[in-house]
Amino acid sequence: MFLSLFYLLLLLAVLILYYSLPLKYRWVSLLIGSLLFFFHEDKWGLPVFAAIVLCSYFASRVLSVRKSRALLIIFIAAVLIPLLCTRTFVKYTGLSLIAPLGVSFFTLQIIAYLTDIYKGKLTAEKNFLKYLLFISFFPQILQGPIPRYDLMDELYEGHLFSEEKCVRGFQLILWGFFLKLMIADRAGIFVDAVYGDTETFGGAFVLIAGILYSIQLYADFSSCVCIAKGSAEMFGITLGENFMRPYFADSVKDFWRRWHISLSMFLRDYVYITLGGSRKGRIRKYLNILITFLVSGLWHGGGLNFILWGLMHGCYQIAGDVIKPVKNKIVTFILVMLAWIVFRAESLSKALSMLKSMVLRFDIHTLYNGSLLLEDFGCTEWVILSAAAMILFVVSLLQERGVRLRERILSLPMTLRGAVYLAAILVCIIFGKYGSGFDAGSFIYAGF
Amino acid sequence: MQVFNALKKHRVLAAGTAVFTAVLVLILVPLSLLLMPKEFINTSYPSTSSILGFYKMPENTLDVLFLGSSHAISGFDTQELYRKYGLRSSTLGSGEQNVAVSYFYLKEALKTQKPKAVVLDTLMAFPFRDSKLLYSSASSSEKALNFMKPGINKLQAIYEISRYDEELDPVSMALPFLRYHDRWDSLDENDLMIWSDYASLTLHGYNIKMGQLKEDEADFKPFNEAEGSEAVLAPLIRSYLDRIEETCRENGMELLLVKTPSNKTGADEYLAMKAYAAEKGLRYIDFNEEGVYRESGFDFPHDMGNAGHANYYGAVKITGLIGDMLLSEGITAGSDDKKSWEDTEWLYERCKNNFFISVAETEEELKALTEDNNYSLKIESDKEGEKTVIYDEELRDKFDTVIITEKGEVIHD
Repeated sequence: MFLSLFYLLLLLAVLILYYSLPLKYRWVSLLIGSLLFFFHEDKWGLPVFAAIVLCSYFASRVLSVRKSRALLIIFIAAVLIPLLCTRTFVKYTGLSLIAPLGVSFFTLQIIAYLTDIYKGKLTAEKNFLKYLLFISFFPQILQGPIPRYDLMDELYEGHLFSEEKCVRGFQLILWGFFLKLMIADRAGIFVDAVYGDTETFGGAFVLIAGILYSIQLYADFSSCVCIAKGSAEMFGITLGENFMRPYFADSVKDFWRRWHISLSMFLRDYVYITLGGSRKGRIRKYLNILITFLVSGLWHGGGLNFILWGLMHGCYQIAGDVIKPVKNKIVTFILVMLAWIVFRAESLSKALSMLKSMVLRFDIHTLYNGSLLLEDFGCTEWVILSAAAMILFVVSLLQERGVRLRERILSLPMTLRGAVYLAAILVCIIFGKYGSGFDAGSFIYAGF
Repeated sequence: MQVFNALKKHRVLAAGTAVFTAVLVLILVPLSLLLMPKEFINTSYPSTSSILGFYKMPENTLDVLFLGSSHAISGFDTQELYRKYGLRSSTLGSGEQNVAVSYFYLKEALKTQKPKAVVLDTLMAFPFRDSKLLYSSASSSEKALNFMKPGINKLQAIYEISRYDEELDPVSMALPFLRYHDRWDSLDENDLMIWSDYASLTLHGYNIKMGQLKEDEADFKPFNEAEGSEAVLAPLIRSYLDRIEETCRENGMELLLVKTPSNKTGADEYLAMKAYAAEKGLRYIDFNEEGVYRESGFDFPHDMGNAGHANYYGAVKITGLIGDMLLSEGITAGSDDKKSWEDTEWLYERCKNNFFISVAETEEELKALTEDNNYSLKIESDKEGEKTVIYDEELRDKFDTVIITEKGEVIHD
């Protein structure tokens, strides 16, 4: 969807329209672009999407005049129904026809919006079209970041053209392409092979697949967010951060401050705190943590493996609270990676079987006797993936140490900057994983 | 106006973006050429006869244009047509070339040439790959269009053909580096030859099919018209035939429909095409129909390289009959530049020699054909263990190199 000529042309067209219109009406171009994007990507989901938007708009107007908890619950339930129905429908039929694009993300967005109106934190948007834009804004409808309404004023203000923001946005988009084509879709080849035949690929294969999946998921999700943020930045709009180098976390708690930040904040503000947070004693706090992560697991998917994944993280957090937490990046990564192994599995039984085989069938020789060279993932692929992952690591490390890389690149002479961009584009074109056999336009998190 | 003012204000960025885009395009164009597979270089029978050679022809030097599938590539001997009738011809053909590609090739040809006649091989007017609307594989359309020059005609071809074949991605057809990017690790010296004269070296689209039919492949009987019941000409196919016919008519070109000898079509297809030709006032000859078959003196086992493609002997006969028909239609050779056909005489002789080698039955024939020391001899042994390979010293001296292999492994070089 993002990695398509349509998206790039749409982005260009909307940019031209945006900066051609008077400041006051520039948001209209964003709305047109968003509706075109939705129609192109999911025309069959439009009726359900329209129904949800209309209902939630109506709900917001009612809640703004009548602050009723019962009404809030009814409206939230009504908004959740399409998500739950489509989940059930997809799970049992395998068809996703009626699941509108981004339903998992905009459902949470609407819940947060209605709750904030109920709590009096903000007033409902009266202009239906502006509200529609808030829900459907095309760079972020796919995979977030899940926006809060009070952060979205930038959507409606017209922004003056800024060379710097435009170039910075372009940089982010380029980085997003790199993450997706060079790392995520490449690592996915090995991961899919292992998960596709767990009988053959046990032991050390599971460990390596777990590590690669951790990288794949991060690169995949992060790439989409980069493209979203980069696209928005070209309009002068700043979307929130969704990742802060999560694998540099030194505890699981820290991990959740760095991974899918918008979802974490949603769960914290609208589930954990609503349940009472840590205000009602320790036992209740731990229960609230477990419930919150259970909800997170359910949000990602209806399968038992997602529930186990959520509960694992809940238990990690509780353990970290009960015993003195081990502030160690490697231990944290291992804990998170084990949970990702469960997360990626087709079912709970498969997940448990894989974890079991990782321990019982582990053979260290696998790591160096050439077994890891698969038919579709040979030496060349390992080299390219390693090099790309190393680039990601170095970039992340520099960012972790406060080096603002985009600013550094911006400060280079134009010809050198151009050479850097050109090299990045050519590397992605030549060495990227896309084309026949790949669906570079599909993202893992868009499936949740 | 606002956009213009913005561009003026941010002219450095605008200029930088323009230069960046230009440089990117300048890199991607040769990159595409490098990455695209060249199945017409260094192969004994290229699956695609290159359009690159066509582009090299001086303008307005063509008398006859042949269009069609591999049956056209091997069936229409363009050099023979020149030698015997003085008619300058070229074939724009490719493996499984569907009628849509033939149409767009015709449009492409008319940019630089004004032939007096167009000869269309009609194999692909009928089901070849039943599951496809245009009866050809996606890869065959890709190969045919890969080396067509970028332009409106190519874009239109991509747009239309990809509509009828969901396996075709129009974006990657327009931007081939996207489709072939992962060939980077299998590039070899053949890929670099795309910029050499060799890439456009062609017998004007004709390629000699080597060999002759084996005994068990020689089962063929020309049909009698009365044996068939008229096949259905699909509306989509008919629409492209109509467009070809209309283009020829508008440009004052004679259109001749031909079916070369093969076991792929029969009386049903013949009747359908005959009816179409009658409706449009066109001439149509099917070499599989017993009357034409006999008139041409065709001998299926002797004149075919395989059951679908004529060899050199067959191509000469096919071309002979077509040449006679063209002359009877008043198609005569132009007096302009004939250099292209003079310049390929040596290549034609070389290719003919290769053909005769492929059908040589005796050692004496082989010796005579390989006298010029431009060939290598490869002897394949399938027996393991100690052995002695004995071959004639005189024969050995005739060859540039002698290689002996045992089960694929070189044991003497």
